[in-house]
Order: sequence, then structure tokens, then C-alpha cells
Amino acid sequence: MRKSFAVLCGVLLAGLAACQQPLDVNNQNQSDVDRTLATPADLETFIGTTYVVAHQATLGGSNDGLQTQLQVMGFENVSGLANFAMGPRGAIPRPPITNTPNATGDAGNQFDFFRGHRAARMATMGLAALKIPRLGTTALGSVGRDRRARAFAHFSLGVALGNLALAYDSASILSEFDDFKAAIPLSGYRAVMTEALKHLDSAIAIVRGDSATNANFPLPTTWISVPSTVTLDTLFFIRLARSYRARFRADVARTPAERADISAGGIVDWAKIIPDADSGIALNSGDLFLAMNPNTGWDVVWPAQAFATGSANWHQMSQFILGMSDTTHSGTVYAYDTWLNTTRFSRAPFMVVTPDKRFPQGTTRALQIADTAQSRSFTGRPYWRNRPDGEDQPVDPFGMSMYDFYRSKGFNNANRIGNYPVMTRTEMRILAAEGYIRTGSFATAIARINVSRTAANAALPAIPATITDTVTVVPGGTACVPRVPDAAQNFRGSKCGNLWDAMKYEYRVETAYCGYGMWFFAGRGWGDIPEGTALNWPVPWEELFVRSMPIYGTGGLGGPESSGRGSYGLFDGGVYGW
Amino acid sequence: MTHVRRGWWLSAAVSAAALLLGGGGVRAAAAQDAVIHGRVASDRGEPIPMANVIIEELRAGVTTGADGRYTLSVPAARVRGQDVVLRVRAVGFKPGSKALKLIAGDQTVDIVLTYDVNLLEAVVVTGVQEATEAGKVPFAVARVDASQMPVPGANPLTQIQGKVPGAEIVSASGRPGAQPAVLLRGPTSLNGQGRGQDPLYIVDGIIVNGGLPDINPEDIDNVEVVKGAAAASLYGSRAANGVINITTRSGRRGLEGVNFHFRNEVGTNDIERDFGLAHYHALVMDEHNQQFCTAVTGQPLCARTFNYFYEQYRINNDPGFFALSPPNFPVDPGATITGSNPFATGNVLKERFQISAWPGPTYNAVRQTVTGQLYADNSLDMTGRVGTTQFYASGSNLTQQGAIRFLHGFQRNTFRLNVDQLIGQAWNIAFRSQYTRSTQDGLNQEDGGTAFFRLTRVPGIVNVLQRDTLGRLYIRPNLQGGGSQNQNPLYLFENIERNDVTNRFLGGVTVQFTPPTVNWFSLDGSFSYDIRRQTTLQFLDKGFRTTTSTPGTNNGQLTRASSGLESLNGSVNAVLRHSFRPDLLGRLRLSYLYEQRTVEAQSASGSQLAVKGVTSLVNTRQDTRSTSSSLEDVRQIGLLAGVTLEYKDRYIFESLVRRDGSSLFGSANRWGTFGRVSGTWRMAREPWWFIPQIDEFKLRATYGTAGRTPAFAAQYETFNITTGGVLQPGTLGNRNLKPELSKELELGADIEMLNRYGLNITFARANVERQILQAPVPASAAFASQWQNAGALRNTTWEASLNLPLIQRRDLSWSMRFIYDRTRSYISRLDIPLFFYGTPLQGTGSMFLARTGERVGTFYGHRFITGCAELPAPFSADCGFTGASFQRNDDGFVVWVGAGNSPRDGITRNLWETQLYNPTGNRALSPWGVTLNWGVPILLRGNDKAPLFVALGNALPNFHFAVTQDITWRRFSVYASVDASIGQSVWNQGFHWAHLDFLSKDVDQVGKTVETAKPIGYYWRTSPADGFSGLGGFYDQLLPNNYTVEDASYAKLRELIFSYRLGPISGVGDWEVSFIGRNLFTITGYRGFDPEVGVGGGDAGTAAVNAVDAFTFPNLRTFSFAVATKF
Repeated sequence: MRKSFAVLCGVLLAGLAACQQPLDVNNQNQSDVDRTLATPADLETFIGTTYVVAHQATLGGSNDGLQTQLQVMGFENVSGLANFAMGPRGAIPRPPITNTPNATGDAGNQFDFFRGHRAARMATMGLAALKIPRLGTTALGSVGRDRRARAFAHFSLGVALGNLALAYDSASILSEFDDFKAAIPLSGYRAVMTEALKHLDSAIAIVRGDSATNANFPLPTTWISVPSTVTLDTLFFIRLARSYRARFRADVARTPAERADISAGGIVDWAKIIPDADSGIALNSGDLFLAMNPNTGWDVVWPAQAFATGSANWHQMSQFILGMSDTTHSGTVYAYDTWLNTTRFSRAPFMVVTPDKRFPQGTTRALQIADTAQSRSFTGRPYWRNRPDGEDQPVDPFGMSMYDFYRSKGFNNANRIGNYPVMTRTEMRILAAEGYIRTGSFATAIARINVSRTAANAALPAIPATITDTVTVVPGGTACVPRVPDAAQNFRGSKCGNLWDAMKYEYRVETAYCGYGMWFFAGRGWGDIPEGTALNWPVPWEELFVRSMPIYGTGGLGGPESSGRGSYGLFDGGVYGW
Repeated sequence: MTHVRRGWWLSAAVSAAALLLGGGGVRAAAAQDAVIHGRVASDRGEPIPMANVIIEELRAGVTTGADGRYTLSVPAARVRGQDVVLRVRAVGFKPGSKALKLIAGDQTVDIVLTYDVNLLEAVVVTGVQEATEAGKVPFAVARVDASQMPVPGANPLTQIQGKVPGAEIVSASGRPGAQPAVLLRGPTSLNGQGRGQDPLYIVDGIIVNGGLPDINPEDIDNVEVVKGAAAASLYGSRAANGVINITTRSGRRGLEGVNFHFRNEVGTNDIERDFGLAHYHALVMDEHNQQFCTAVTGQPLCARTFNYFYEQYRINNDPGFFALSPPNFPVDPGATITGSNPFATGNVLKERFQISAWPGPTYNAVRQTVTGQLYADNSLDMTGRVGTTQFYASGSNLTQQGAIRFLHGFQRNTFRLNVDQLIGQAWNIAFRSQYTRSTQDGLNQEDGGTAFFRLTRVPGIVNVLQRDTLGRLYIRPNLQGGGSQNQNPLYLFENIERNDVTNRFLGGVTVQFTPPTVNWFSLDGSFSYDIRRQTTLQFLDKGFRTTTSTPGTNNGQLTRASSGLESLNGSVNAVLRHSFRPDLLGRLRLSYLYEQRTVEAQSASGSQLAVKGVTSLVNTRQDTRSTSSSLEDVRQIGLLAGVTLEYKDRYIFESLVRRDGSSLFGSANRWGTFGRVSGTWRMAREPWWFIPQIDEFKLRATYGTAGRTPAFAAQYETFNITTGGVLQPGTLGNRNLKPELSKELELGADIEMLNRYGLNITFARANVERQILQAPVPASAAFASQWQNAGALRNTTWEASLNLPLIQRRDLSWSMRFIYDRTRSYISRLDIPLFFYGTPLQGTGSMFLARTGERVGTFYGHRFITGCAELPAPFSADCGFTGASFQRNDDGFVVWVGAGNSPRDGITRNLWETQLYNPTGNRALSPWGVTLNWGVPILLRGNDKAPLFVALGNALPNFHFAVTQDITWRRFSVYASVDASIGQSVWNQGFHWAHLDFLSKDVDQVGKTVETAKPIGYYWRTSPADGFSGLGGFYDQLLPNNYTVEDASYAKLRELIFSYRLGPISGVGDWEVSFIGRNLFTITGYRGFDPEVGVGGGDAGTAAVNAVDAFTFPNLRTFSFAVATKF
């Protein structure tokens, strides 16, 4: 008996002594940071994924990003659906971004903020890890390889921070010297953008003229998923980085006053934008397409919806914007004028008949539908389609039309596998043109505007190089394109646009669905978004809670950080609201 | 009714002790021996076999035979004419005794035992340190034995529905083979991701991890339910949700020899209730109401018409893999409003009333989908004793085909062998084993619920059984807009091949060592093993049809998956006993426990088959293939010490401490300590007790702690391997993560009156601290979140049960049993930001709000105002009276009608098309400055005009009650169980979303008057004020609102059985026939299929909280006939 008792006690003691080790169990399903960066090759691969993560913070990864909201707020898209906050964010008058738990669109707000920081943080983790020699005196096996990785990490970090500075009023400036898991203080968007530009500068500086680094180019296409026809050499890399610099410098402006700041050292330095834009992808072989494939992580989730066949309740284009192309008139009354001069809820879509071949041609809906059955390639025409009327969908009459954006329609038919534009040469040309207009070089600006305006798929009359102001209207007479709401008529009629309007028109037509919030970011700086539209997103409430900071919102009529009345009458008593 | 006896553990122990102590009392009597014989019978006159007859003073005892008779011989050497007490104990009865003088020769002593109707003498083994009489247990242990489960369920949990106070058992899905969700005394975790909220399940000492439907309910002897942490402390870090302990049958109660029991049940399943589909439509038709108008570009409305049936034929009869495009309706109140003049949407919504009858025959898709199918349950078992070997063996076959056309449900075969072997006088070995093989064809055959979603999208004109000339079901019989949601749901059921095969083995052995010469020590050790493997095949063959071209589906899809669970647990327990004085007993228990389990899964899938009919993955196109796998390894160690002191059989004090180590805890907190103290005072046993009618009055109190382990990955820093192999930070690791800690105080009283009527009342308050929650971390950290101990829940529970054996006579007995419980769960502290949570289903992700003070399970969503006070001033003053601008309509909602009108004037005064037009947002003109449509419900808004998110109802009931009736009259017996759940709400998402397509029956206006009829816009989307194109109707958005979060109180006739005992037929067997019904009838005002509904998973981790009626498999009703015999 005593023996049995002794055995029991022995077992218990053995259990106590041996208990720690059996309780240590590894997670075989997911990695941790040590295993993620275990080898030099892993580190290099990790850094190589930072750009795709930055991409996922804007266009890829989830419908629940800001892109859906950016597009409806900038008139790039119109939808009355609740999905992904499209209907509410596109409502007129503009509601505020309340930024409260479960508020409309808060998932998107959190998504881009978080993902943008994640991409930036991954880049800084890579930069820090590159300092640790793993193979001799280098991290990856050679100085050139180290420097290539460092350049790419700076590039991704710059892109990630730049996108955050575009969308949010504040963000954290992350660096390789941080405690990675700590809460880094928030900085205003100007400071964040300044830091983003520095990282792009660093990326360019490392690559430029460094033979050791250059020897390791071209970059793997897993780093930047370009089509097979594109070589990711140093020239491309530098031009891409410069293009981002140009975009960020111009689009960071929240107001027309900020965007008009042409002095060096101001928030927008057009003297720097112009050379970057001129030396960006505009002079390279083509637009920046990314070869998308959801199975590789390169994905464009939301914009694919716009190309989907079927009901137009997910997507249509605003008649307010499309009307600028229209030249239909009976006597002296343009269809666009009739539309503008109708009370808001009585407006009905009208046919856009325009010489601009980027729109379907024809004077009847049937003809335009037939004309839509053209090439679906990105360089083909038309860019828009007149949909079969059975697919029409009602939304707020201010946005309702019979047109959908159809450029790159083919992209959707292959399960989102294909080349998708995220930055176009036209964007760079127009940014340069805007800079030249703002700095008084009208002829140079006009030349750049005319490239797309007079291209075969547009065929609009060239703007004469003799124009030296932003008052003279574009050519075309009664068929001028664009027409814009006329302040002199209390915005209830239209007039021919001028050089400035033509520049913005080309920008819109050519950049629709070609990047992140293209129309919104430019539109806020031009004053072309409705009164009360939030100029940027607040720091998400989740982040504010973590930091024990008060929640705040932006936008709404009279609300903080909201747009003013702007140039096209998008306010109560102007284009809408009587 | 045959009462199956209870407490076999004690019975066996006493029996064994009697045999041992008596040195084998059944022996031939010598001439000088004292021979006592007699009969032990119940107070109804029935003989009681296997009763233990003992003279403790002499340590002599015997067991009664099948006829209740016994013979006890005492050797002459011990016979001195002394006074002794003959004590008799039998399972299910109160002990009896008789004093007698022990003299040489024969004497007859008959003893009558009364039924222990309140189970005070039943032996409890769950939560206690040692098998203990219920009357001495210091906390509530609900025990349901076989006699209370006369209607075998398809799984053990449904059998105890409505029988255990404090147990919320929700059969959220009717899918055959599904396991109900269980909450004991409310949820203990705000976040149950990856863990669920289920209690700890133990089967014959084996800790099992899910898969309860693998157990054959007819093998169950009893189920003990320990509901709170106080009682469950014994089980440590996994027991905060309580414990359900299932004990299967054994041969320990059997007499020498072998007895067989055979049972055959055959019946049918169906679904009790309907989903309210619309019967009428609002489409535009020609003047004869026979042809439907189609939209033709450039032509006026109704310039061309078509025949619906012909078009169905045309688009479906195409030989290709998908349907052709249907014609466009000029006004299509399907998923969208389309047409040649969509820009007049507002008028369409205000002008059209859903009153048009469909031309030709009409159908009810629900009734076409639901079809009675086979329910069959056959079992054969064998119980016996051969010498010192006792055994129970059984085999069963269950076929539960369900009630959905083309689905074949669940088939289960089980085999069980339980053996008890006495070796010598000291060793007892108990071996338990079960093998189960089951197949199930449900799950994704419903396409993740989309088939049932599509079922709610079928208009009355559609015949979902219509086939084309190739014999295929029409893939798109619904011509209206809505895309793939118009797919025929039956096509999925018929054409997706799904087969899940589960093989499971449960086995355990317990060795008890009880030294015959020592009564102060005993030792036992156990080892158990559970392995469950499941393989899955899902196959869509090449040629699978869709509504539009979908190459990835049309060319076939294939998924093969396997998963496995393997766990073992072992323990060593020692019990030391000591009598400090004759009336003060002490016990010390020491235990060591080890548990290990591994869960793994693999899956591979691909599409675009090369050839038809081949289910090998090589048949899929290489670039479509994907794979996944997971592996989780968990280890736990427990050390336990407990002390019990029992004084004068009426004061019982107990305490225990358990130290648990777990691999699931953070590496810096690998160990946790749990424990309890408890006391029992059996007041009615006090000498001063002055109420003789109350023969038991027990007060009990227990305070204890128990834990909940974190989910497997919670402690780790994780980088997720995302699509394309991209590594991204996932969760920030937490090496300090601790288990959730439930601290519960339980107070209660157990009362028995007149030796018959029993009342149990329990109050419990649990604070569940260290809630494991997904806390946000700064975005700059890159990780999405971190699992932290960051909050607390408080559950307050009242439970009561009342047992009323009203008539207890030999020919007639009638018992009633009531149970009642009420639990309130509140978030008492939240250390992280408030958050919304829900399930991954669309629209449900943020339906609950977590914040301090919030009741768990409170739905949040939009609210259509029902009271004038909800309007802002000054409009609230112009409301609610005749002639006011705002009045309550016949649906109970406050609407704008304009001064001088009434909500009944919409048609007669042509008001439906009017608006309180306010494009400038002038708050003086309309409430909140928004445009309102006449007669349409108004959303409650905040200062920013945005609709408010407000509390709408709670998913958890206010209270439960259940009533069971058990009547036996001669050979007839009737048993009925009614189970009620009162005050809970369900978000009826199916009903809600069907409003988008005008397919909920309440959109039908036929039968209404011109005063009460509503246009279709009344039911549709919210208005332009929120960026939408509707009028502000009940569909509103995808999210919950107060029209569709509805009261789902119900009372169900859960079980009903009529039995007639035939007795032997031709001298063989003891036959009984029964008519059985399950889930027969539901009393409820709920508008969906079944108010007992929910979805699993999500943040809460249980369907008992996620009360969303989201296109799940409706619950089944069963009618059956059974024949049983024993021989």
C-alpha cells in the first residue's frame, strides 16, 4: 500500500518536473518575424513584396478600401448601392465622414490607413534587416544586391507614405530606426508627404549612377508585376519613382489655394513637378500597367466591378461630368444646359453627342450602343459605352446617366487576370501641362494637352499654340469640347471651356479608373468637388482609440476639412439644390 | 414507462463492497446459520432487481434477483441474537431499512422502497471529487437519465433540450448530422473565434472535441450537466463554459446472463413551417394580364410582349452550360428596378401595388423543395454479466435523410463495447470503446447557404421542378433581374455531389485499485483516446449549369479534403479517507492529468475538368488548383488536490485547487490556478427541524473559478502567408496571454416535500474576467491586432426546476416536471475600444456592439420610428393625433401624412406620390432636414442626419421554460416535452433581403383595402437622402433594422411519444410499439421558417448568440413508428 502511494507521489512529482517542456508548441501554420526573415533570400523576397503590399493598400486586396469612396466623391463613379459606402459617400449634399464605430465607410477608412502603414512598416523592417551582415559583410551577398534592396525598400516606403499623405490628414512617419511595435506619433499630411518624397529621392539616388546596384537590375517581376514586354531596368525604376514624386507633389494639395502654390518650398512645388513629370513614364515606353493576377497577390478588386457586365447599379458615370463633352443643341440650347437648368430631382439623363471619339458616336442610343461594340483594348475606343437601356439603373438624378466606363473592359473577363493601368503617360503629361500653365509656359502646356486631345481615338481639334491665357475658349465653336457650367448663368447654363478646362478635361478622360482616387485628389485641388466634400479622411477611430485620442470627423456642409463651393457650381443654389 | 435505474456507479461499488465484505453472501445456508430472505419491491409493487441488501454491522450483503428476491445467510458463528439493521439500496430508489433480531434459522423480511423521484440518492460523478449522492453535492448538477429520454434523438444534445435549466441548446440548423449550439448559463466569452462557446464534453471520461452526433444516443445511460465555473472548477482551464458528461450504458446493472434489446424506428422528416414567399407580382403586363411587357429600345412601353413560360423554355432549353439571356422587363421589381424609363423610378415605386396574379399555374417553391424523407433508426444491444465480467455491446444504424429534395442527409453506423472486469478483490478495469462511421451529403451541397437564399427569390410563377428536353432542371426559371440569385436552388441540390465520410474511434480504460484490507485509500488511473478522421469530396461535374457563362464552374469543380483530430488524455487519481471521529469523515484527493490533441486538415481543389465524371484532382486544370493545410498541437497538464469534510451527514465542506498548464497560454504565463470552496447544509436533517412535510431542505453554496483557453494561434506573433506567397504581419504575439477566468458564486436550495415533490432553485453570478479579445494595435506596428486579456462579462442566472409526481400508482402514474431559467449577460468592463462584431456573413459583421454595460447579444441597426417622441422638435408635437402631419399607420410606424390627412388616405386622396420635399436640408421644414415620402416609414436619425444605429433587441432569451409530462396507464404511456424560449430576437435576414425583390409575402397587397394597401416602394430601399433610390422602405439596406429584427419567442412541442406495451408475443420478448414525434409544433409569431435558428462561427463563435436567420437548413420535424423488444 505504501508502495502504491509512493508510486503516485513519484508520478505527480515527475509530472511537475517535466511539465514545462511539453507545453512549448510551435505554430506550424503561420510564420513569425524570425522565420519570415530567416535567410538572406527570405529577406530579399520580403523586401520585394513591399510594393505589392503598398498596391494592396490602394487598389488591391479588398473592396473595402477607400477607392470606392474616392471614386464616387470625385465623380469617377456613380452608384446608389450601399455596398462599400458608395451611395452614402456620393450623396448630395455631401454628408460628413463621421468616423465613428460602425459608421458608413469606416471599414474602408481603416483598411487603407492600416494597409498603408503596414506596407511602410514592412519596408522599414527590411531596411533595418539590411543593416545586419548575414553573408560576409553584406546582408544579401553583395553590396549591389544590398543596395538594390535598399533602393526598393525606400521606393515602397515612399509610395506607401505618399498614398497615406494623399488620403489622410495625418499618419505616422515610419523609419527603420523605430521600435517596430510601438505607436509612432501622428504627423500632418504635409510632413508625411515630405518624408515620402525623401524616400523616393533616396531610392533614385541609390540607383542612379551606381554600377554595383545597376548590375542587379532588372528587378524581378514579382517585385513590380509589369507585363512581360516591360523591363524593370534602372531607367524604368527611376522614371517610376519620379512619376510618383510628381503625382504626390501635385495631388497632396487639399484646396485650390494649396495646389496653386507654385513657389519652391510650398506644399506644391511645380518647379519640381514639371521635370519629374516630363522625365517620368511619359517619356518611357508606355503607361504603367501592372500584370494583375489574384493568384499572385497582384489584384484590382473594386475597379473590376466597373467593367462587369450586368446591372449598372454598381457603376455608371455622372451626367454632370459627361455633359461637358456634349455638343448637342437645339438652336442655342444645349442638352447639357437643359439638364443644368432643371431642378435636381427632375433631371433625366440625356444623350451625349460629341465629336470626342472617346465617347460612343452617334445621335441615337442604338447607334451609340452599336459604336460601343468596338475594341476593348485600353488603347482602343470608345472609353465609355452607352449601355442597353434594359440595364439602366436609377440613382440620384444628379449622377444618373446611360453611360458606363468601359475602357479595359476585357480585364474583367479573365477573372481579373490581365494588365491594368495604374499610372498613365497622360497623367504625367497633364501634370506637366498644369505646371507649365501655372508657370506661364502656355505653348509647352498646350503641346502636352494636345497629345491626347488630338490623338486618333479622340480627334478633337488641337488647341492653338497661340493661346497664352486661361480665358480664351477652346476651338470648336458650337461643338467645342469641353463645355463647363457657367458661373455667369448661375451654373444653369454652360459655356465653352478654356485652356484650363481642357487640361482638366483631358486629365479626367484619360485617367478614369487608372489609379488611386485620380479624380478626387486632383479635383479637390482644382475646386471641382461638391461643397462639403471631405478633403481627406480623418485618422480612423480605431487608431484614435488606441492612442487615447478623441474621435473626430471631416467633411459635410460647414464641417471641418470640407471643400468650398469650387469652380463648377457644385453647391446648393448652384448646379444643384433648387 | 419503464424506469431505468440510476446511480450505477454507487450501486456497483456498494454491491462489490457487499460481496467483498460479506465474503460472498450468497452461499448455501448451514443448519445453524441465520437465513434472511424476502422480496424488495417498489412502492408501486414492482419487484426491484439488483437491489443491495446489507447488514453493515456484519459487513454482509447480497443482491436481489430479477424477481426482487434475496437470500442472505449469516454464518452461525456470527449469530448471537443481536439486533441488526437490514439496509436496502437500489438505484432509482430511496434507501430502506428494517431492524431485526438476528437469530438462527429462516426469517422473511420484505422491504418496500419508494421511488427517488427527485434523484436525491442518485450518484453524481460530474464536478465532484468522488462519486457522491446528489443530496450531498454542494452545487447544481443537472442529471438526465435514460428514463427522461424516452425519445431517442439523432444526437445526444437534442435529447436533453428542455430538460436542463440553464442550458440553452439551440438546434440552429436542421441539417441532418448537425450539432446544436450550447450555452450553459449564458456566453462566457465575448469572442469565441476558433473556440466556440460550447461546454467541455466528456464521454465516459474521455474529453471529446466536438462531433457529438457521432455518439449513438441510445447508448447513453445518463447525462450530467455542470453549468457554471463554481462546479466545473474540477476541470480547470477548459471548464468555464461548464461540462456535459455523458455516461454510456454498461453491464454493471445486469444480472447474470445476457439480455438483448432491439429497437426499430421508421418515419419521415419534413419541415413544419413555410417561408412566406410572395404570391403576386407588380410586373407590367398586357391588357389581358397574360403576356409580360418587354423593354424595347426606342419603342413605347409594352410595344412588345412575351409569354413567360415560353421564355423560360427558350432560355433554359439551350444545350449549352448556361441559360440564355431573358428579356428585359420594363419595370422589374426584382433585385433592381430596371426598364425603359428607369428615371421615373420614384413613380414606379409609388404607383405600383403588388396585386397582379401570375398567369397560369402558380407554385410554392418551398413546398416543392421540402419533401418528406426517410428517418430510420435501428439498434440492437446486449447487456450481460458472466462471472466477474460485465459488458454492454451495441450496434446501430441511423438514416436521417432530411426533408430537402435530392439531399440524402446523414447515415451513421455505431458499434460500442463496454466491459467491466473485476480482478481479484482489489482491481476493477473498465473498458469503453466506440466506433462510428457516418456519411453526410449536406454542408456545401447547399452552396454555403446560397441554395436556401435562392429559394427565397422564387416568384410564384416558377416551377422549380421543371426540366428541359435534356432532362435537366431549368437553371434559370426566374426571368426577372437579379443575376445568379435566380439560379434554381434545386439544381444545386441535384447536381452538386457532396460526400463527407467520418470515421471515429473513442476508447478508454480505467483501472481502479481498491485494497480490500484498507478502506482509507484507493487509486485509479485512466487513459483515453479519441481519433476522428473525415474526408470530403465535393464535385461539380463538367457541364454544371449556371445562369450566365461561368467557365470556372461550367467546366466542373472538384474539392478533396481531409481533416483529423486525435486526442488522448490520461489521469492518475488517489483518494485518501479518514474518519476523524465517527461522525466526521475526511477525504483527500490528489490527481495528475495530461491531455494532448492534434488537429490537422488538408484541402485541395481545382476546376476546369479535362473529362466528365472523373473525380481525381489530376482531372482539373493545373493553373486552377489550390491547396491548404493546417496543424494544431495542444498539450495540457493538470494537478489537483481536493479536501472534503463531512460532519454528521449534514454539514459538508469541500475545497479543491487545480493547477493547469497549457500550451495555449502565453509563454510567460504557462500555468494557471483554479479552485473552489463549497458547503452544504442539509437542514432538514437537523434534530430541531420542525416541518415534517419537508423531508429534504438543502442549502448549498459554492464559489469557484474555471478557465477558458485561448484559441490556438492567439499567443503567437503571426505573419500570414497570403495569396501569391506574400508574407504580411497578422497578429502581434502576446506572451502574457492568460486564460479567461470565470469566478462564479452559486447559491441554491434543494427541497423535497412529502417524499415526493422536488424543487431546486439556484442563483449564480459569474464574472468572467480576462476576456480574450482582439485588440487593435497602432497602425504603425503593421500587425492587424493583438489578442489581449481585455475585459469582463457578468452573467447572472436564476434556475429552477419543479418535479411533480402527481400520481404514483401501479396502474397509473403521472409526473410533471417544470424547468425555468433566466440569464443576463452583460459586458462589465472593456479595456479596449468599443467595437461592433458579428459573423462573416454579408451584412452581419457589425450587428452587435461591445461596450461596457452592454447586454451581450444586443442587435444594433436602423430604426423606423414608432413613437412621436422619436421625432425631433417641433415635429414631435405635430404627431399622433387625428389631422396631425405625422401619424402612426396600421403597421405601427410613424409616417408623414401631411396636415389633415390620415395614413389611410394614400389611394383615396392620391397622396402616395407626394413628398415632404426638402432638398436644401432645412431642418425647420422636415425632421432632420431630409425629404420624406408620403406614408413611408421614417428612419430615426442623428444630428448629422445619418440614420442612427440603435439597439433593436437581444439574441438571447429573457427566459426559458419547459414542461414535460410523463403518464403511464397500464400498458399505455405518453411522454410529451414542451420547450419554450421567450423574449429573444432574431434578425430575419431572409425575410429582410427578400424585400429587395418584393418576394416577401407582406409585399402582397391582395386582401388589403384601399385604406391599407401600400405601394412597392414602401417595402424597398432607403431614400435619396442616404444616397439611395428608394423611398425609405423596410429593405433599407443590408443591415438589420427594427422591422426585421423580430421577436422570436416560441414554444415547441419538442417530443411526443405514445407507447403501448404488448408484452411477450408467442412467449418471446417484451414488445412495445410507439408513435413518436419530434419538433411537432411551434407556437410563435416569428415570420421565418423557425425561430430556433442561428449561424455558427463569427466573433461570438456560437449560433446561440448569432441569432440570424440567414438561409440555413430549416429544422426538421419527425413522425415515426417504433417497435422495440427485449429478451
